[in-house]
Amino acid sequence: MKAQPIIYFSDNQWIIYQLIEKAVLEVRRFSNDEKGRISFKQWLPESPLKSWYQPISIVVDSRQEEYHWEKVPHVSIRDRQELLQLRQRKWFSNTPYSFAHIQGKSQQLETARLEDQALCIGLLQPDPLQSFVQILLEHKIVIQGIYSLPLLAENLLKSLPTAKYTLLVMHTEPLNDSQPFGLRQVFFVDNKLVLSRWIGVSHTSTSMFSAFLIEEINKTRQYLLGINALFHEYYLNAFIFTEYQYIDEINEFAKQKSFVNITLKLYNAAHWTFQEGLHKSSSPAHLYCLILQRLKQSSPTNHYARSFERRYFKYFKLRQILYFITATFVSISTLFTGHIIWQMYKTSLQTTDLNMQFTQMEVAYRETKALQPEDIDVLALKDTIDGVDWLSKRQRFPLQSFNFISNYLIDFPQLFLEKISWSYKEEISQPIGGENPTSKIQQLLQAKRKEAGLNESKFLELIVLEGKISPFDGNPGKALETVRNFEQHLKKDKRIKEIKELVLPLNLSTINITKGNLTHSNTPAKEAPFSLEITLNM
Amino acid sequence: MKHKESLKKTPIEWQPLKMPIALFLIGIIFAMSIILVSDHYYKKIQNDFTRIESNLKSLQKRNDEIQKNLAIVKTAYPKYENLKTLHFFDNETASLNWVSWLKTLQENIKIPELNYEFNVQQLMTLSIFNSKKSNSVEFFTSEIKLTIQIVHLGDLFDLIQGLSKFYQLPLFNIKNCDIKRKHPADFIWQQHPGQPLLEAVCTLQWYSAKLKPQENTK
Repeated sequence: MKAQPIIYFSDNQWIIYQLIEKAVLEVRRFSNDEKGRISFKQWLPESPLKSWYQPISIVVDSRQEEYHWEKVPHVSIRDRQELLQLRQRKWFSNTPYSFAHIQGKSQQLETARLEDQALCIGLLQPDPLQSFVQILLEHKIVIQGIYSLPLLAENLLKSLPTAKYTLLVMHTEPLNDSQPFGLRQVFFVDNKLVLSRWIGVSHTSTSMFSAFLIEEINKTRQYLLGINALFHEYYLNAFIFTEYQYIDEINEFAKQKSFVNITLKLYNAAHWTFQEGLHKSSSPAHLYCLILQRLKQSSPTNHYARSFERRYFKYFKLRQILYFITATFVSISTLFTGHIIWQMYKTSLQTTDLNMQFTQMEVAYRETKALQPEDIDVLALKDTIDGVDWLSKRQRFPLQSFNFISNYLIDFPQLFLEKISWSYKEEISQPIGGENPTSKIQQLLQAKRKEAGLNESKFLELIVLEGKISPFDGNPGKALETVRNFEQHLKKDKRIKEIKELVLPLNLSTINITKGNLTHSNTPAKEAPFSLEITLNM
Repeated sequence: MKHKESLKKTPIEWQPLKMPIALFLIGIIFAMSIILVSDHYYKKIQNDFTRIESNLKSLQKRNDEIQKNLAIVKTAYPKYENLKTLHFFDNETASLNWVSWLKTLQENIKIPELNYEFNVQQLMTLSIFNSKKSNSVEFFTSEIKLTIQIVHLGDLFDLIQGLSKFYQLPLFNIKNCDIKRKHPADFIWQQHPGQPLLEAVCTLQWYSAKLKPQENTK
């Protein structure tokens, strides 16, 4: 796992830590003075900080940090930022390192006015931090953020029993030879930071550590009561994280002395941090190390770092985004190209297959084409044969009709023919829906009729017989009877469609007037002509 | 104020961004290039495929058509060859043959007199081609008016049957035929042997065709 760097910055020293899995390990320690700055400058170019080339968080643990816990009017989100900036300017006009945020909403019972609980913190002496940050920026070290250690301590409360008023007491890093450690007291209301106190512990104090500790807690309580951050009727829950050797002593002391509204809970700091997942940390500031570990896990909002101080972090993020976009583009394009290449491969195979089919079919086509006649177009050939067939179907000769009539005339020798005319006509059946049927039903019916042969033309042969009765005995009635007999005889044949009497022996006509002489009614008629038009359905 | 001044004065440092920007640009160019190039070649291959597919479909269509044509040719071409032999497409030769054959028949049947009259040739429209925009063959009809002096009706029958035999394919038609008795009922033929008794006037229609210039469909 990659080591993650964190810098602990206090009034006396700064310590470079690296986080590796479940361990917070000290890399190097520098004193917070000119000598320390010089050695840091010398160390930095060759340090792992640069080679890590990853964001560094600076955690500030300063006695110069001031806290203003106050109520502010509840305003809209848009105005909130401006309101907080006003508060920062009011309390910390002389320092660039300040931070304000809204902790929660409350309501005043008297006025029913909504108010927000705000915390405004700042570093009263910014110069040491500023000059330190300047060194980092000169070496283009990526600063992710500068954080207040007491504010980060809020992260520890979720692992402790819930209480309204909480005082967290923990050991600091050793300061110098005369002060082996300090005490950091952090006070929270409803798990939100209100203030923090830093107390140095001398060797003398360590000999009577229990009394010293309790006295300091009492002092803090009195102060909190004084600023109305705590009220008399409420208990102050003090969670004390200390070294193993002090626990029995504090317990003994607590038994002997009664406390007013203070609940003490003692923890072995090393043991507790181990339980919380920090398996390796430097003594005695185990809780500090846990705060640093959780900082890397939670990535909270930056507290103190100004925009230009975080510029390399912005570059870092921008680089990450650019690398990510580049990798995404290249990956997507590669996948897309891979997909296209696969499609190309498949299409190529299909193309080859089609090419083979085409070649085979072309050979077959050429072979078939070679069998086609060269002297006539197939369409013309078809049209010619269709036309000839059509004409053949319409071919008519008079022989059959003449034979037909002759056979009947044999039985009527009195009918003397002078002229016989033969012709034919085509009777075309009317198609359903006309020549161009529009509806589908009409088309279907026409097709059915065609199938059944009902659309075929019929040929009717016409024979006109002109003649007279011979020999004629002068009796037109008998002559008429002869002609009518002939007609009746013909009509028995199914092939006869119609017989029209054009001229009959009496010679009655629609045009000519028929005359007679009744006085000489015995005068016989000279001739008995007749003319019949016979329609044959051959 | 100091803070604001510092912020304003801080120019963008390109050094840490050079490499990622360069990589980004190279990445974009590379990504676009491989996409464009692969897409170009894919389209090319796709076009080839579409072209070959279209060609194959077209060839399939032509092949189907030529198979159908072949079926037509198999049945129709022998008939066409026969028509050619009978000068169906050669109107002039056909008319000469008509005259020649009429003369032969007159001699064979011993028809006393046979006169013919060729009318002008006319383009005819066959109703089966009505729905077609254009057909590749034109049909013509010609009329021959025959005036025949015959002894009896059998001579006319022989003549018509003789014409049918001559023309293997029935490509002529008798339009009408009038037969008139030339003498009164009391005419005694035995007193005038050899004299024709009947006069027949028949109109024949015979057909020919002309192929339109062949289009190059091959």
